[in-house]
Parts: sequence; C-alpha cells; structure tokens
Amino acid sequence: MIRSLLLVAMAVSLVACTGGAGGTAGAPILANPAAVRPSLAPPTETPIAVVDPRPVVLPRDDGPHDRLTEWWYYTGHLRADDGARFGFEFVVFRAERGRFPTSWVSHLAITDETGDRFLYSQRLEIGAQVDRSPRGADGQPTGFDLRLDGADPSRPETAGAPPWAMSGAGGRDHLMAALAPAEAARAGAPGGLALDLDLVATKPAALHDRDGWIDFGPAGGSYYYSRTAMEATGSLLLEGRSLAVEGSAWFDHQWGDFISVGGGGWDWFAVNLDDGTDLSISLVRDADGTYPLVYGTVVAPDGSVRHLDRDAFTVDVTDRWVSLATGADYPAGWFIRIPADDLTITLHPTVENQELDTTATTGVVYWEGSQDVRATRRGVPLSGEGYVELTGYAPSVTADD
Amino acid sequence: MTPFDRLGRFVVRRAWWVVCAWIVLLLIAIPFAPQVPGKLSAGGFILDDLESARAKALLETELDVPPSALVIVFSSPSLEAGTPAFELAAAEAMRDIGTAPHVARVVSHTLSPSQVSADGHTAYDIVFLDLPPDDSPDALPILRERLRESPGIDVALAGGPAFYGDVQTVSEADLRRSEIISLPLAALALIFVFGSLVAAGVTLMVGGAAVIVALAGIFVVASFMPMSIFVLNLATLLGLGLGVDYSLLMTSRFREELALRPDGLDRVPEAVRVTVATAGRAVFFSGLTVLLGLLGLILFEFMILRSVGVAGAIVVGLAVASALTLLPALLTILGPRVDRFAVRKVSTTPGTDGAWSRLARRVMRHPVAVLIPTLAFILLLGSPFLHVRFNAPDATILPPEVPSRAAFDRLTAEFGEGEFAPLVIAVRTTGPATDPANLATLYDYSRRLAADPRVTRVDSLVDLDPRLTLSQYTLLYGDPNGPRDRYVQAGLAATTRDDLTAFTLITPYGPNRDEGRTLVTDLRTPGGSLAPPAGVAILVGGGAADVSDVVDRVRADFPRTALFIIVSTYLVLFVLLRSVVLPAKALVMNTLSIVASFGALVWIFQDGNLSAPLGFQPLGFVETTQPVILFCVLFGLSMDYEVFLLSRMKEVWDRTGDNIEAVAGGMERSGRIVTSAALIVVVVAGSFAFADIVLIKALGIGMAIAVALDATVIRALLVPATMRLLGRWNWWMPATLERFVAGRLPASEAEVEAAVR
Repeated sequence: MIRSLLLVAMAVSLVACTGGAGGTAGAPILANPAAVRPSLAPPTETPIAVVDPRPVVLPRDDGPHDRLTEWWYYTGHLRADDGARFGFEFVVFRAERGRFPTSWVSHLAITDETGDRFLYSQRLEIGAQVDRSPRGADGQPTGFDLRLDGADPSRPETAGAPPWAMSGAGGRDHLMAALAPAEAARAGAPGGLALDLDLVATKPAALHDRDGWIDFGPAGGSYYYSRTAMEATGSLLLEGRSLAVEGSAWFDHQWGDFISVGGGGWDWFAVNLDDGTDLSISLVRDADGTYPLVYGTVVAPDGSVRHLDRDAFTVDVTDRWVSLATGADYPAGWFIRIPADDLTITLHPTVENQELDTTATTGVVYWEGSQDVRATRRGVPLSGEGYVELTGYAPSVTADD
Repeated sequence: MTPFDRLGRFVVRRAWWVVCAWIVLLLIAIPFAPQVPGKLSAGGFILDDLESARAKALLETELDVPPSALVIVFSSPSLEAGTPAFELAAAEAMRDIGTAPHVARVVSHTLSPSQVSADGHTAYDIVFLDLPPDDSPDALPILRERLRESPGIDVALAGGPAFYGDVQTVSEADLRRSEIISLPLAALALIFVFGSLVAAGVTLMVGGAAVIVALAGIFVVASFMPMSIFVLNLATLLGLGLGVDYSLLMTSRFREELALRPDGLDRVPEAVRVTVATAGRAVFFSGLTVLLGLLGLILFEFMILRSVGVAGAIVVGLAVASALTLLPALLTILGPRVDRFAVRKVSTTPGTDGAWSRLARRVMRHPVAVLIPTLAFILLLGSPFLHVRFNAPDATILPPEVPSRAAFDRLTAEFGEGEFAPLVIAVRTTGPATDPANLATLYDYSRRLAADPRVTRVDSLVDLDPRLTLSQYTLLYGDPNGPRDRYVQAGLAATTRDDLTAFTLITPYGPNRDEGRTLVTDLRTPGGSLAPPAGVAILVGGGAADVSDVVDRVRADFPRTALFIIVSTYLVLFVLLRSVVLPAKALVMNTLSIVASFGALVWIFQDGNLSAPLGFQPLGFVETTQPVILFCVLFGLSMDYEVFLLSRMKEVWDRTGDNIEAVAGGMERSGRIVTSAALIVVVVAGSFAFADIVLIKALGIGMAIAVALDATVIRALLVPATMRLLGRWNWWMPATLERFVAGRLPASEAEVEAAVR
C-alpha cells in the first residue's frame, strides 16, 4: 500500500521549525575556531544505500529497517460484549532523513460505529529510544517492539504519559495505547481512551505484487506485506468504561527508500469478505488526476495470494462527503468490480466523519475509516468488513507553516 | 623665526591659558575616556569584496542565512545526552532562549545527532543570531540572562559572539593590568632619569593627559566608524610611551637650557622658547615619522588595521600636541622648581666624552669587525621569520581558562575542529537550481567534491540523504507544488532560492590548517579537479576560505603600505637631515630591528619558545595583522630614536664637518635621552607581556624587543659602524638638490640652533 506517502509527507514537523539537518547554509559556523587539533569525533554515520529488491524474510523483516520510510499499520473491527461495534486504526511511522534522528509518529483512531463518533490522537517522538525491538545473535531483528512515550524534553508537561506500544513477530502481535488525560481531552474523550489488543494472524503474510516489492520507478520502491486476517482480543477503554472486545485486524508493514509519488494523493482499500477472501486495492493519483499506480492483492481463504493489475478491477465512487472542519470533499462510497472473480463490492463508511487532522505530526489531513461492506460473488451475496484511507483531498501543510 | 620658535614664544606668553585650555579639554574628555571600550568591537577582519565575504553576503541576503551563531555547550561527567535527566536539564536551560531578542532560530542537539559527542557527555545547541559577527556580542547580556541554570549539567557559551565578548572583557582587563604595571615602572624610570619627583610627575602628567584626551577622541571617532577593541591597548601603549618619551626629551632639553642660563629674569621663558624651537621641532618630526607609519595602516581596508591607524594617529597627534603646548606651559610656570623634590643628583648637561662617545669611537675603530657579527646576530634573530605561518585569530588567542575558550577547547576535542569551520560555497546556476539539468549538474558536482579525500561530507540540496537518487531528487523538486517531503522542503528552503544554492563542505581541518587553504585554492582554480562545472559560478567562503582571503589580502596590500611608509619617512628624514644617504641608512637600520622583532615573534608565539615563563599556549601561527601593525608602529617608533640620534649627529657635522666627531658627539648628546626614552617604551610595551590575550602580549613583546634592540645593538654598534664605513657619504647631497632645497625646505638642525640663540 502506498500509505507511505503519508509518512513521506510527514517529515518531522520539527525539521521545518529548526532548519534541521538541511539547514546547511547557515551551518554551525563558529566565527573563530581553534588551532590545529586532530579530529577525535568519528564521522557521523551516514546511511548506506542498499541494492533493492531483496527477498522478504520473516520474522526478520517484521522488525525495523534503516530505510527512509517505514510503518506498521493496523486497522480493524472490534465488537464489545454489549454488541457495540468499533473500528480502530493504530499506526507507527518511522522516518530517517539524512543525519536527522530517527523520527516516529503514531496515530490512534477509534470509530464508535454504534455511537457514530470518531476519536483520534497522535504522538511524535524523536530518537532511537522508541525502538526496543528484539534482535538475534546476528544483530538482525527478530520482530518489532516500538514504544512511544511522546515525551518532549522541551515540554515537561509531556513527561510521564502512558506509552503507546506495538510489538510482534511472526503474526502474534500486541497493541497497547492509552491516552494521557490531556490527550484524551483533546481527542474528545475526557473520560479516557485506551486500547489493549492481542492479535494472532490466521493466514500467512501476503507479499504484494508477487514478491513483496512494489516498484515506483524513478521514485524508488517499497517492500510491502500484509497480514490480512488477524484475530483480535482485548479491551477498549472509552469514557471511563472498560470494554472487553474481540474482532479482527489487518496489518500492513511497508518500508523502503522511496519518495512521495502520486502528487494528488491516494485511495487505499482493505476488505475482508466473510467467505474468507481478503482484498487490498491501491489507487495512486497524480496531481493532474491521472493514476500512475493502480494495483491490488487478493488473499484467498487458504492464504494464497494473487496480484491484481490495474485492468483487473474497477473502482467507482458512489457518494461524497464534505468535511465541515477542513472543507475537504471526500469520496464516501465505492463500487468495486473484479470481473475475473465475478465479484462486486459496495463500500460505505460506517461513520461519515473519520477525518484525521495530523498536521501536528505528519503535516497532512487524511480520512481513514471503517466501512459497511456488501458484496456479491457470482450472484451470491456476501458481507464483510473494510477500511478505506483517502489522502490528498485536503491541503497539507508546508515547511513554512 | 621658525614656527616652533613662534610656538615657544606663544606658550611662554600664554602659559596659564594653555594649561587652562588643557584642563578644560581634560574635563571634557574624562567622562568619555572610560566609555571607549563600549564603543569598540572585536573582529574587523571582514572586507566586503573578499570572495568569502561575498559568498557570505549572498547567502545572507538571498537565503536569509543568519549572520552569526552562538553555541551553547552542555556537558556532564555523569549524564549522557539522550537520557531524560540530561535532556530535561538542557531543555530547562534553553527554555527562554528561542524567544530572546536577536535569536533567529535554534538548532537543538536533540534534532541533530552530530551535535552530540561520541561518548554522549557533551552536546551543543546552535543559536543563530540576526546580528553581524562584529555586533553579535550585543546579544550576549540578554542571552546570559535568559539562559537558565540547570542542575546536573554544565552550560557554557562558545562561538563567535562569546569569543568576541570575551575578547572585549579580557582586553579591558589586560589594559588595566598593564596600566597597573607600567605606570609605576615608568614613574620609577622617570625619577631615575630626572632625579626629581616634580620632573618625573610633570612628564607622566603630560603623557597621561595625552592618553585621556586621545581616548575621548577615539570615543568620538568610534561613534562614526567601527573601531577594533585592540585599539584600546595599542592607543594606551603608544600614548603613554610616546607621550612620556616626548615629555622626557623636552624636559631634558629644558633643564639643559636652564643650566645654560644660571641668571636673569628671562631665563625660564628663554629656556622654554629654545626648548620648543629645538626639541619641540625634533618631537614634531619624530611624531611625524610615527604618524606616517600609522597612516600606512589606514591604507588597509580591514577595520582592525585601519582603526589602529586612526586611533594611533589621534594618540600621536595628541602626544605631540601636549608635548609642544601643555608641557612647555607647565615648564614656564614651574621654572627651576621642576627639579624640586630631588631624589638623586643628575647632570643636566651632556658631556663631550662620556661612555656613549667612547663606545662609538671604539666601534668606529673596527667598523667591519663590529658590523659583520652584529648584522649576523640581527639576521639570526630574524631568521625564524623565514618559516612564518600567517593565519587569522581564533579562540586560542584567549587563555584556556576564559569561558568561551574553555568551551571551544571542549568542542574541538569532542567533535574535531573541522565541524566548526565548514566551507560554504554559494553556487549560482543558469536558471533555477532545481531544474532537472541543473540538478544533474549539481548532483555530479557534489559527488565529485565528496570524493575528495579532504572532504568529510557535503551538505546541499542534493545531499539530504545518501539514499536519495538523482531521479528521486528530480521528482521531488519537479513537483509544481514543491517537494511533498517536509524534510526535503526544509532542506531546500535552507539551501536554495531560485538560481542560488549553498553547498556546505565539512572537512577535518580548522580554518587555520594549510590543508584547508589548499582545498580552497583547488575549489577556486578554474579547470582544476574540483572546479565547478560549466554553467555554474561559485563563491567559496567560510572556514579556511575566510582565513585565506584575509591573509592573502593583507599580504597583497602590505607592499603598498610599506612603500608609502618607506618613501614618506625617507622624505621626512631627508628634510630633517639634508642628506640622501642617511635617510636610506636609517631605513635599513630600522628594518633590521623590525626583522629581528618579527623573528622573535615567530620564535616565541608561533614556535612556542618561552611560552611557559610568558604564560601562554603557543598559537602555531602568527596572526596576519600583527606583523603589519608592528611594522607600521615600529617603523615610526624606531625612527623616533634614529631622528633623535641623527639630528644630534647632524648638529655636530654641521658645526665640525668631521664624520667621526659627528657620530661620537651625536651618540653622546642623545645617549641618555634615547636610552631613557627607549626604557620607558620598553617598560610600557613590556607590561603588555602580562596580557591574557596572546595578540596583545605578542604586540607588546614584539614592540619591546624591537625598541630594546634599536636602543642598544642598532644604536650602539650598527649605527656607528655603518656611519664610519660610509664616511663623508653619510652627508652627501647632490649640489643641484642642495640648491633646490635651499630656502624651500624647513631650516636644518644647525640653522635652527643658530637661529634660536
């Protein structure tokens, strides 16, 4: 998936504020440096470009990579004992740029489908301390363990917040995120908001575009695999109420030395049909409205994976929704056809307003929301669950903002 | 009647008026003099037309690069950067800095890992200021106030503004210390010379008055043009040294004249008149030679040199003025009471066959045997100058315990000196720098530079991350809405506007390293391996380029100044001595003492000899403006003694026509005065050996050595030996020239003597 581009646009708000590592012209020039003295400090480690693509090896590649861009992205659907339904999104982005410290951003969103509410929060943290991933004897990761405390030393009030953490390897993952009181208040959940889930994959990881390598041409390329079907159990704290929840989740992991492609944004779809078929579609738009990159992946009930070229399916928008907050005009309903499978899918948001303003952390406003799914395969109706991500419909911030 | 005779008569007639006028002048000057340091600034090594300055100006005006940067250094023996304890303490210290006046932006170590030392115990934040380097210390008081104390870590200031601020503070302390040392010593020397407290006191008073009024004059001038902080010490040194010297000469002559007139109502007025007409004339010409040397400094465009020249001219002018007006007025009022409170018996009239005369005769008996070893000795002293390394001043001119120096030592030890002296290249492309063709050119150029083993890394719009390819840069910068990556946006904004982009080269070398300067030359050499590609124009600045440009410009401008000083001094001496050979010989003698002084400068301050007793850390180089200042000041100062000496010789020559008698008699008659005068200057200049700033220390010691050599080896050995060898040629003047100058030029020494009596 090309959600990436969200992160690529991310770029660490602080860089823009400070001039950052790119602020070379003003450079740390001391007007009067000292006399002859050998340099004792080792040269700053500069990242080394790696020849791509290489085979994806799990669980090693579950762990972090020293690449420009990477993320671990969960979306899912939860049901409480009382029948209440929730969608959730929990993501950690990782960015490396030059000699700037590794930057981490996390977004957490809960869609209260029953209560027609959408709550979200975000964190940014700079530094290597976020990565606590286990490593084998060879130094290679054996999974991932990421923890954002959201602490900013320049703002003492940010210290002591409960962590946002995600860890896992080989399809057994754990997600834990609890909002600090101030975060919860900003998120519209003054009574508190927390998510704690254990996830177990029921299908093997699916490599997109056959080998897990998406070639973006001159923009680079991205490794990309998904665990499209994971069982989720745990708890959700909402407004002071702790709910035992269970459901399903979709996990995307993507990394690579690629840059933003699709100047117009992108639409991403993840659908789990109740016949056990999982479908992912990515539509990458250019600024001129054309689609330079369109592809899909179908994961069969047995876990086998099939790549969909751009001419293997169609996506039509059936409805729209205009955000009162940003004025962005989003698609809000879709009709997907995969002729070869005689499969049609209709998607409609469970809640209209699932828009996230993450300008504080990633510089973008996007929409990511759970879907009502209706489908038909060879005339047989199916139901399911789905998530859609939409970017590029609202103006993003620039470095000057 | 000569102008000096007329001046003498006037001062005698209006003695109280003259004293009152000086009192008024002093009363006006006294409030201003202490404020001079506040008007002076460190720096002064920047010239707008230097390539490095043009590069800097371009980046400042077109890329909004802040002109100066303060470095805030955090260190802890126990805590490490990145840990909450360290970071919370650092953040607490910095909390109010970002909003302080003149702060353009702050680059925190938390966002730039290269600002954290390998062991993690030292880190630094960069505070960019909107003030030019010379004015940057103005921001220090408020920043120091805003910088919070933070338990657990040490916080120190480094970088240009802190360095400049400390230079100002330490310069003022140096001046106070040298005054405390030199004034009592000069007083003692004067008491020894005159044997009278009143004579010594009057001499000091006149010298002091000249300095105070001169400082006020500098205050006024500094309100209109930038003046270097080094002016403070040099002005005081010159003012005290010359003021006292001139007073010494005048007072000695006055006492001689008084002794010649034991009785009579007009003995005091006559003695004063004759003193002004004769010694006053010598003082005037002496001052003129010093002034010419200092005017040579004004020919330089560098503020530091020009301001020393201007301030020196003010000081010399006032030293001469006080010696020609205030002193004779005081002598008129005091009369014979100038010898009151005698502490020892001193003869007021020079003998005819004293020690100096005997020494001169002995030398003249074996002139070659004296000349050759003496010359060899002087040249040996000067020989270290053959391996001189010129450089610009850096933090090491401050003592290690001064905060900005200590902080800088820590930084260079932890991070390497090259990190703080990057070369910055202003790159002008044909059309926008982000055009695909230009990007490709810049991408190749950057990689060519990075491949040079002397370059640690290159920062530019095509070096934001080594994993980004040319295709990716082309896509990023080709987006009509600008790069979608905020890091790239920030990098582009910081480095590039339209057709101008900045390349920053980090090297392992500090600005004073030869390797860095060679690299600068290679970058600027058309057709060289590091030359810019076709269609691209560059200006190289920063680090070694700044130093190269300053050193090269000083070197290029020096011959012009030297020629001016040599020719003008020759002409003054020609007028004074009415000879075409003696002035040339005097110039050679002068040059020899300066060469010896330069050699000593290199031997001590570059090579580090005597660094322990003199209490400094060797620089490893000679600051490039020092020999220039020394040359210009010393040329005048040494010529002073040459003027005293030769004018006395000329008197005897005019009277006797006997070269040996002229030399011996001149030596004898000027011996005590020149020795005393030189002693005073050596004491005053030598007191700057106790300065904390190495540059001041070096100037003081260099001056003291040159003057001491001049008053001893040169005067006692070289001058008589060469005078003897040249014989009558010393006094040669072509007949046509003689006829030409007769009546056109001021009266000669002999004519003056004849006229006043």
